[in-house]
Amino acid sequence: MSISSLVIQTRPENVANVESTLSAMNGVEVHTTTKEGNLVVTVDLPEDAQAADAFSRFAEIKGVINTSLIFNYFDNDNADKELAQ
Amino acid sequence: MTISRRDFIKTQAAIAAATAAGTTLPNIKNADAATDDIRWDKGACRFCGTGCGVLVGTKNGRVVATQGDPDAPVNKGLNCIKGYFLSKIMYGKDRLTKPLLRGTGGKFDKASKEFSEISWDQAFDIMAEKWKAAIDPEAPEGATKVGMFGSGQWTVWEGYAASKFMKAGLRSNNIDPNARHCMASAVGAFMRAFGIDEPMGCYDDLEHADAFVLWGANMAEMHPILWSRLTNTRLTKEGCEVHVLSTFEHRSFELADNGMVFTPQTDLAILNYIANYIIQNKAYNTDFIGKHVNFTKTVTDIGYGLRPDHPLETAKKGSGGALTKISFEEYAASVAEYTLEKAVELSGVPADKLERLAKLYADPTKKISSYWTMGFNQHTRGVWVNGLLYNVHLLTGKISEPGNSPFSLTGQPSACGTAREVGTFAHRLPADLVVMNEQHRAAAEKIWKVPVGVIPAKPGYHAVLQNRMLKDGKLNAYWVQCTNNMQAAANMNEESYPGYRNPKNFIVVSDPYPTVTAMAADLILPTAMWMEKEGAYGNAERRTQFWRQQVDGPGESKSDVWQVVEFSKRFKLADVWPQAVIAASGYSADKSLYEVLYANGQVDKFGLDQLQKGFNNSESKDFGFYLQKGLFEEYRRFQFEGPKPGHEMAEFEVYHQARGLRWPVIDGKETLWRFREGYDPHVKKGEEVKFYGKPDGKANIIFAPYEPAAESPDNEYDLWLSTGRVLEHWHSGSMTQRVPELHRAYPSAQIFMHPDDADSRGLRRGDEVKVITRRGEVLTRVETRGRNKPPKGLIFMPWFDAGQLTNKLTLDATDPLSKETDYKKCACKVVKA
Repeated sequence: MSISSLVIQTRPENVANVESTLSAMNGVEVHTTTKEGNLVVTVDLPEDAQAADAFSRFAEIKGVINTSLIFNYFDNDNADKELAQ
Repeated sequence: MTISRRDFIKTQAAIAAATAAGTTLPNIKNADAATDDIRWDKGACRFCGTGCGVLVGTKNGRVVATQGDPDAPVNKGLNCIKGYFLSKIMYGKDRLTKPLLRGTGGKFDKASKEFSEISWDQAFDIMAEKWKAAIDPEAPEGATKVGMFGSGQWTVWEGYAASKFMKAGLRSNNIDPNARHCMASAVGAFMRAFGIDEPMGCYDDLEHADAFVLWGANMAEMHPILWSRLTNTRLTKEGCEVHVLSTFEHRSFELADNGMVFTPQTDLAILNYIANYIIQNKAYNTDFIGKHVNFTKTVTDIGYGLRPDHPLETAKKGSGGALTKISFEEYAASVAEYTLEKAVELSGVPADKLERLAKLYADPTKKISSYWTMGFNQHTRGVWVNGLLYNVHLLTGKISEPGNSPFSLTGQPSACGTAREVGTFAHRLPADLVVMNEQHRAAAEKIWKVPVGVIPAKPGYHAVLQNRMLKDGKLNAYWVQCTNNMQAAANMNEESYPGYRNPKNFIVVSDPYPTVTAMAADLILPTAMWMEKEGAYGNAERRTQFWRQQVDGPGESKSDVWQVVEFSKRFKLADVWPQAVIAASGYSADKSLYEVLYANGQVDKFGLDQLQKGFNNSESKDFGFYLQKGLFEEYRRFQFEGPKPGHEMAEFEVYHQARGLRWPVIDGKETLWRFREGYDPHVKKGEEVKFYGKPDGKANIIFAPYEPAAESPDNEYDLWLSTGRVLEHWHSGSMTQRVPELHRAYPSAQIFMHPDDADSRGLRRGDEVKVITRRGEVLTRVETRGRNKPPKGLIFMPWFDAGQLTNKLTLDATDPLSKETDYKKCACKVVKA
């Protein structure tokens, strides 16, 4: 299990396009966007390496100015363990 | 409510990202991190000079996670992709854990291709034997044959201890850091213009500025976190604009309102044109230049820092960097020839774009921050071109205040904090002092408790000269720590490799990994790195940051500072100092360098009871005192007792609590903008602006003309070769190439080429090609699309890949003033392999 979150920056006028490109990608979820052009994104994929590939592809999306990584969780043993909150 | 662990973690991740983006998530309540008994502690990133704060997560003696530190003022929780995978850099499969000697069965054999394991004792035995054979204590000053090559990745105390060992212990100034390759031109220009090193502004300018100009810097890939802050300002501040100049189009152009691709070396002409425009349009700040500026010009036609018998050196007419005072009118006349037409003709940038840039600098209502890195510094006129940009900021008075900031970015985590501030350059001493100045040497000798005359007055061999002297057999015992200079230094075929393999020389390399440099050594020492030791780095905005030792190094690996201090025990004063100096010192000739330099009543004065509670400190436990604290507190004495004020830092323990502080730190308060009243405690009430590095408090505007590059394309070698970096890898890749995810993201170097240049050579995207220069050739592949788009006539090649040694191609032409190599310009040809 590899879960990460990112802030992706684009020009405000490109937010919708970038959002739809991202949402179509496997394991990628856009949680919210801001009027300044920030997209809050999580990536949930089985392996770190797949996540790294996804990050590289983000940078190639037209209109993406910057990608900052925020949080990572790498764990290949304990996926989907139930926990009470 | 029961949710799956996956959903819980994902929610946490999304909340952290939303917080960093300054927003909230709809319908989600904040869940505190349940962190699997991971111990989290603050640290500083191991890579570039931005100096991001990271939280380091440790579990069972291993770093298992890192996270952008939300409380770090630099990055506010953000990470770039390299920082994101930081937790993996210490765990490459080929970590070195034992000293390795060239030869079989522990016997040294320079000609052998094999290495065999030896103990630390045996390693220091053979080092001491080789060093003592190269040292004649009674030899004339400056005839020293021992040397050291260090690093802007050394921690503050590692650089300090090494510099003291070489300059006061072995009486050799032949110590230089790899920062010579990246920051020396910036240093030279700071000293010439302001008389004191490092930027006047800070990262807060990223929010205060109205406009940004990037001079050759590709911040989107090389300083992504600062780029993120700059992007936020551009997208949220009305009227904010971004100008980007480079010799090829890159990712930073995505945000550019005015992107300019110029012919290599013509930045000199563009900057003089801007100065001319400001003068012609009377846009200069009369009050500011009247009170705070001197006008000068520099010696011209000064050569290219090549070997003295090179035709370019014998042809030069000038030499050195002496400044002559001139009047404002004379300065105006000097730049007058740099008209718009001339700037367009030389640079190839359209007139409207250049004029828009000049108007921006001339506009009194716009606060401007200018950024540069290697494009300016790795330049045979690097000191000049840094200075030409200061000219523009000084003419308009746009300096030393929020938003108005000419800012030299750095590429290494402690190029400032260590390489520059503690004086690891061949001509420098701690806190901006220099070996050439008798008063400065005396101050250092007094603080170090060594007799007058111990520190040699002549600068030692700088980085490029070290490789030449190794080749010439004049530097024979040589220690490289914390850097991969065989891969990094220019002209590997003609200088670096023959130097290391010269049978007269014994080369020691300390590294965590078997780098290209380590494999060219005679003795390899395994090094404990980053979180395996207590450390301190100083970033580009003068911020000093500490971390505690989180884990122990693997096997027998030892930190660089341990290696230097332990090795010092192998020398008695009689081995290294002349009889007369020993007699004057009052020390016994049998006293060891360890006793004189480190167990000197100062460095060893803090006990183990003061160590950071709950954390190991391998070196201190070995030596029996708090080594890092002792070294730092002795270094601080230079800041308070030395002849050059303005570098003051807080007490050691303060930094273990704070998220870094920007010097000068006076009465616990950091300084954001230097030289201006109200911000800088060294500027008194009523002085307004005072460039106190200079005796008269005035900065220098320095006229320097356009002069051509050392090697330009011709009929045979018909392309410019510019070398550099990519986002995924840091410098020579010795760490990032060992992180599987980063390696996979960008596995091999390639050349970026214009599609027409590929067509005309019969090449297609992905073809294997040979890049050939007068010095060597390298096999690689062609990329005609992708992130970098060179103009016709230029190729760009990153140098991180140990499988494609880019520096077999480059020319070791340097700025004759800063001695920094120009890695951005030489001539090459490309043919199908």
